Amino acid sequence: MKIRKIFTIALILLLVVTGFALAQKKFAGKSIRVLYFSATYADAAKEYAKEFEAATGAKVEVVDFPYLTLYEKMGLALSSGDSSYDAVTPACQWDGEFEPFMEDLTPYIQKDKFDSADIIPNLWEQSGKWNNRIMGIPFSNTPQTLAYRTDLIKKMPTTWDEFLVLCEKLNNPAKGFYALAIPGAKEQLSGLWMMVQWSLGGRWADEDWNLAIDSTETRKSLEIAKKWMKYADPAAPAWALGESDAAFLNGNAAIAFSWPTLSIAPNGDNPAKSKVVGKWAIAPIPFEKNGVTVLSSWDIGIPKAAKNKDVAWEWIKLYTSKEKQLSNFLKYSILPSRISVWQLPQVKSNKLYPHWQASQQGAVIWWRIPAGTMAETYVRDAVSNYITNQWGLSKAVSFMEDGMKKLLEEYPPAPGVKNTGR
Amino acid sequence: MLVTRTAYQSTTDKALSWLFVMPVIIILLLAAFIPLGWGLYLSFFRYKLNMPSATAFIGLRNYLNIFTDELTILSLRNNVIFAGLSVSIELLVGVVVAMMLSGDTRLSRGLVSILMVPMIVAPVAAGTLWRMMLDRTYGVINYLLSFVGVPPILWLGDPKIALYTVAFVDAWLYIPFVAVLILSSIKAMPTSFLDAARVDGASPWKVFWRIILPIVSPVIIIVAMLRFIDAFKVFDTIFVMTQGGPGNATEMLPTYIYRQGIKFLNIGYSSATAIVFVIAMSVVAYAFQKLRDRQLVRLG
Amino acid sequence: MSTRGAFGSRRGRDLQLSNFLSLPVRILVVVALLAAILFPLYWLASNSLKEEQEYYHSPPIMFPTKVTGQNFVDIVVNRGLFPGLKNSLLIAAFTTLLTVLFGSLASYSLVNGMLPRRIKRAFAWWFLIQKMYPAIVIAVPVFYIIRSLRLMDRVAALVLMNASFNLPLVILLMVGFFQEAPFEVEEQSMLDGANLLQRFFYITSPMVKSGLIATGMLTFVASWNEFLYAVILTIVRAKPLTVLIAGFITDKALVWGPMAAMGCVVIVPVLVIMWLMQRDFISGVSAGALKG
Repeated sequence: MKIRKIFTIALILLLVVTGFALAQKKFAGKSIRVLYFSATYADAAKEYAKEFEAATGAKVEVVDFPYLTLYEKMGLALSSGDSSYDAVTPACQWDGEFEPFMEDLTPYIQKDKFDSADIIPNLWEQSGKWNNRIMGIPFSNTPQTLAYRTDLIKKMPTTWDEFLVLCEKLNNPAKGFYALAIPGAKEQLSGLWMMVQWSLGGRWADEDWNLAIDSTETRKSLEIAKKWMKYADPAAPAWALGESDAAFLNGNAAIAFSWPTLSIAPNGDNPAKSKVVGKWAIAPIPFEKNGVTVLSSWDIGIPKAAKNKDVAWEWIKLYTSKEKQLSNFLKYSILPSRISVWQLPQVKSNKLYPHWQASQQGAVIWWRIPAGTMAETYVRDAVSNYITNQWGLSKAVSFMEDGMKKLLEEYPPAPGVKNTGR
Repeated sequence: MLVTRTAYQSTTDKALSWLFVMPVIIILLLAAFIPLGWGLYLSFFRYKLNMPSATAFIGLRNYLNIFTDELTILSLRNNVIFAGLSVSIELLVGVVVAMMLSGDTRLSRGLVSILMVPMIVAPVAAGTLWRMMLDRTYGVINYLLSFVGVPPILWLGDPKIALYTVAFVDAWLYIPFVAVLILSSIKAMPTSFLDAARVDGASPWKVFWRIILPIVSPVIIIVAMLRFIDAFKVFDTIFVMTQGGPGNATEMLPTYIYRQGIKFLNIGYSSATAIVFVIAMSVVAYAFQKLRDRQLVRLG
Repeated sequence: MSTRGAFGSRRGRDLQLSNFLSLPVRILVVVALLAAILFPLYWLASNSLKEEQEYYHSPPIMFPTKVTGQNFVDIVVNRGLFPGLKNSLLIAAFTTLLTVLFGSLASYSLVNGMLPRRIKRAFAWWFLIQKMYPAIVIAVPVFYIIRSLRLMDRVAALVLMNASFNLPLVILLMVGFFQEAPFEVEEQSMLDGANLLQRFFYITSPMVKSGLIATGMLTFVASWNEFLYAVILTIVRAKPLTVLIAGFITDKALVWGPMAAMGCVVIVPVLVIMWLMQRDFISGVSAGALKG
């Protein structure tokens, strides 16, 4: 009798313990490391990390680097088969280069019936899909726009010439007020020039990689970019994004260039950080010929060498989910990649909604092939040297052309790959 | 340079002698010679880490590219100007400061300890600090200059002066190093010459120019060599202050190689530059050494 | 012990060389020197204590109206100051230990050991190659080596690299010191039957103590300040202070206050150490040029 009793108790205990173990969180004890760009995206990730851990038991370590060093950190880790990261967030312009080292997410998407149709189709083409594989899920869709002072400007111009006329009118250096706040440092300036060239109808190369950089549009856009500097603070050539955003938020400029969602949007209506509360808005760049602007899109994917791919996939699903995209938008000014989120009333009525129009007009990226990043440095050098009067116009153009030609020869795009950017 | 001692024969000693140098050999093998050797091998290839499909043997093409690539030549030009300028400032100010602090007074010794400070400041920290101070609008340097009527200067953004600005910051970091070395040389000088000159009634300037400077010149030459070679390795300050900009006005060889090697994972190219560097710098060092030896002969 | 000051001059023999320039010029030089060195330090310190409205201000504020420790709190909480400090300390300490130990062992062997003359000659130049190129050029091969040794993002990787950077100078200097040390004492001990190891530890090392201290300090400072490989070889765990301070160059707002606070933390520890041991530091640094 006694033995039976003991047996029963033991059995019950066993069942309880097993039940307990089974009820344990799915990924308890695991941990993943994710790599982000140091800005709003990483901040959002850090916030959600705790929630993720509470839900699944897996720890998330968010590693972030500034844009300047992110490319090489990611590139070095991926190309050397390093397993340090379980999820990484390439910028869409790096897709072609990193794709060989990333997992194809198609099986994951199919297994969990991920609603990839909800993501803006154009975005998929520019970011995340490459070589018939899905190497990442785009989670932010940021076309290059500008911020402007609503108390000084009623209607934003639709051509670049009108734009310059407006600058002339608003510029008031004597009072320390400038028409433009521009980050003149190399990295940002090239991106600004690009959008002018594209909106004028220019491009770097056509669909089949025939170079088209030597054109009137290129020349005109360079001249326009140079003229901008006349209407900006004399210190602008040395400014990084932080300085130019600060100038706008301090009320010293009428129009601010470059990625307003990074700093102007989150801080613009915060009286502690901004002197232009309630006096600013976002507008697409002047339409000119086609309104095409530069796209900054980040996708999140799983490296082939990652150790905890399943956990990483769970994280990706969380970060790109509808709720999180809405929260990203409202709290961190990260523009969503999901059509459904863009339709929500809170988003439609938000100051950042003009980005939707900008992206509908057309937001593209430059070359997504591996040679793309190197091509962009040729552009950076040429634009910066031209704007600072170190090189003349023809030198700048021929430098870009020669550089791109050499790149396409030495690192040709894989056969069948078209230039879907500019 | 090495004086060999006639040593007491002993097999334990022989074994120990080798054992003692082993750790150093291992460390240098791992951290220097294997990478260099591997680099030498790779320098004959076009090899980008992230595009393994484009690997190809291209013989001396990388080396050719080094000498014909426009930006490499520009970086070299910038680096030479940078080195020349900062070394000149360092030597000039270093000699003056060393002379001034050669006394044995409390003041001199106190000043020497203050002088040491820039030497121990991390170049990254110094670059960050100077970037803050040299800002056109919010920087304190322009603010102070405005009191003497100087209009605001765009120290790091004006392509015409950015190069000089970074050279100045470099000089700030290393003047103490130069001054300390020259100072010790001055102090180690036999005083007989000085006493003789004083007895002859020579003026302090003459004593300096005719006696001290020549005697100290071998050390000055060596210090110049060290600083000159180091100036071609500058990275931290440029990285933090200008990133090579505006345009390419402050692009130096190490920052350019960083771009090619790390940013673009172009190992073939960056390894070729490594080899060229070693050769070039060895030639430079050799030239300086010869100059110094000649100077030593002249001094008798 | 003779009354030798840091530079080996005899006390009380003021050379009075400084009057090669006239007095007003001398005063100018001294004032300029003090200003050029002390003012930036003051600026760094004051910026680190300023409040947000004051550190990024036009015109710049010379004397903060309010002093706050907020910036230091910020770098501790948000920027991982303590792990960074720990890493910097570990890297610098271990590098110094290994470099001075192995470097002096090797130097001793080169001077007093029984290696063939040819080897000694080769050595003299062999390790100087280290100084002939910028560290960046071997970065990618090094990355691979470190990875295969499974040392990625570990303090040990940086200790290895920093040791390799500093060994040339340590060996160079210590060879000079060992040569200066009188050989008679060693000869005596050799007759007494002491082997190389015993002579090194018991006889000669105490004689070159100031050299060891000087090279130790040079190595400590150099490895504390190293940046490039710290950036390349670390991800999260082994990040030292130099990487943290460079990380301020992001696309976010300008935070000069915390940046300056970080700068203070990078500079102050080495400053303190150096001031405490400046005599040996100077003599070591000087010995280098005189021998080279």
